[in-house]
Amino acid sequence: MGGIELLDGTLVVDRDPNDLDELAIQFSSQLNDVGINHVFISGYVAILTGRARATEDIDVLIERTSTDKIDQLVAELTGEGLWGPAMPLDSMAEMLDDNIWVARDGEMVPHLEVKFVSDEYDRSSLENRITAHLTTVDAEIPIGPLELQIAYKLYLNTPKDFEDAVHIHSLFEESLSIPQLERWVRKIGVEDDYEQLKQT
Amino acid sequence: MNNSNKRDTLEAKHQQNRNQRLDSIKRWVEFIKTHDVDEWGDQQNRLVDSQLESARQSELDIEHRRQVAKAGREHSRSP
Repeated sequence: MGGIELLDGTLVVDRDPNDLDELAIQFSSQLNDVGINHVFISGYVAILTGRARATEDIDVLIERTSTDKIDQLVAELTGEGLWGPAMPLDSMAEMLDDNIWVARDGEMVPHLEVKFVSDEYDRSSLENRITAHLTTVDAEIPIGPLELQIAYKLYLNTPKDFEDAVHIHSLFEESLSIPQLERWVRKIGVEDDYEQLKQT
Repeated sequence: MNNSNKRDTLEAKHQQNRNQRLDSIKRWVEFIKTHDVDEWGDQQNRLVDSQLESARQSELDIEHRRQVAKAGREHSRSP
């Protein structure tokens, strides 16, 4: 395969980073500095794996953590030239049960949509996260397991989400864990959509 | 053409578009699998970065963007 592989639970990406990757890498590094566990999920993961589309938002889940740590994060973000285009980052601690936008100072796109882990699928994404290694800049970011991403995309059920699922499934069909994928498909109740995916 | 026929025609067109899009995704995956990362990576990055640049240049306000994002989330979880 040309420059993208799933090797022993690590997604190895050999292409140069794009604008989305750069923002994700920066944010992930700041979360690591403060010690907040996190995971990138959804459309951004499909794009990281080579899907030929863009998105204005990068979804990232973070573990529930203390107000002190969130305040520390906000100080770090503002110090590094990031801001909250929808609301001041100072309100992050109260807003994370919904979501909060974080972007480069003065910009609205692309932005990160940050929220606390809130259900068992979020928790599974965080607990079973894998590493994406962007080799050209030697950076690592945590992403949700691809098997869960596919099943959840089938559940979301829009054309764009189904196409993301087709992309990831076709690209990694030989390296995905099929038992794990099928477990998620049954748990989420998307058996019919999965059959359709396999026939595509 | 009655309403039922019109609907059938639209459904057929929709299905044809959907199949074409899925075919193009499979072709792109095949391209990734068979070409050097510099070829597909550069094409993908140009697409991503140019779409973001267009979005940056639009003057849509934050409220509009949030409403669109919220509507998208709600729609995607509809049965």
